[in-house]
Amino acid sequence: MSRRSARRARTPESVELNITAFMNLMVILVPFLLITAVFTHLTVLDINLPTSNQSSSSSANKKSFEINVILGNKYFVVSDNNNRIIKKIETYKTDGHFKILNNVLKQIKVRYPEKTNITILSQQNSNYDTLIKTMDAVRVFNAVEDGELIQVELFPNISIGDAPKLK
Amino acid sequence: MKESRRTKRMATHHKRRKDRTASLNMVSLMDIFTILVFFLLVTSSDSNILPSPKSISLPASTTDKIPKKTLVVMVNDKNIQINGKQIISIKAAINNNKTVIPELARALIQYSKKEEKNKKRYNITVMGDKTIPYKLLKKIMVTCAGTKYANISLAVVQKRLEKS
Repeated sequence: MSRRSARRARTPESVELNITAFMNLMVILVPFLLITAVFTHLTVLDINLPTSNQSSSSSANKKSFEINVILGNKYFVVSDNNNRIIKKIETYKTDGHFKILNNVLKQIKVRYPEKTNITILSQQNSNYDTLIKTMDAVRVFNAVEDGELIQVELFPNISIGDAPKLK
Repeated sequence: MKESRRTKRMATHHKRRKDRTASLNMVSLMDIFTILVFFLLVTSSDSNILPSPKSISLPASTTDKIPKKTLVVMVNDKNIQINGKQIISIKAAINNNKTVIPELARALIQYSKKEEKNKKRYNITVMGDKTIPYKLLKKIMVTCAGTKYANISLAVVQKRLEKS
């Protein structure tokens, strides 16, 4: 032993770490984590389902103000429960039209700050994606405060129903 | 053969060079791997509760509500599944002339036996493909509500907020 150490001391050479084991670990760990990594973050949207007795009571007191968004085949209609049309948007091909809907509802929110529930009345054939986009436009309003984007609540209690038959 | 001074010198030089073991410089590789491992560990730490099937393309939304651990009804472009088990095809579900889907209701009643008894409403998550019509979605929701699964959450992919 003493001979060996003596020889090593005589010839100074650069000391190297043996990193082979560490490299093995990394090579295994990196592909494993890459496979298990999920880059799309899933979240949920809650909807408000009226129970059967709730819906009958709401039809009984018709005086309260309710907001409906009718999602037609090619248009939006924002109306109240007395079928008065507040705003009609002719098409919803682009995101800009959801923006208009968003702005209309923001103005309504200013007038009725306590209101949190809204009903989306959808046509039978409108697809799920459009429905979700509408729910997004109805739920929150994006605002910039101190250079940061924040979501301001509009009408988060969303109910879904059938659109009335068109005349 | 007599060696010249120069060849001797070159030979000793060569010998000395040969003694050293060739080694790769792995420092930068280690740096990359260390950073990558920590990044992946952090991103994978948020446990994903919902499954992420490849056959469904979920719609995008800006909501930030975290999904709860519930029963999951998956609706892709061909059939309806609960926990990966196929229940009924979409065509059959749309074409029956009822407001509910009886096959789905039967399956949901089976699952509801495992839920807590004293609760009035059970939670359920619907993962629907973005192309499914509202007609079908309504049938599913009515069916769920009819079997006490009245707290319905719709699964979506989180979309980043963009400055308008």
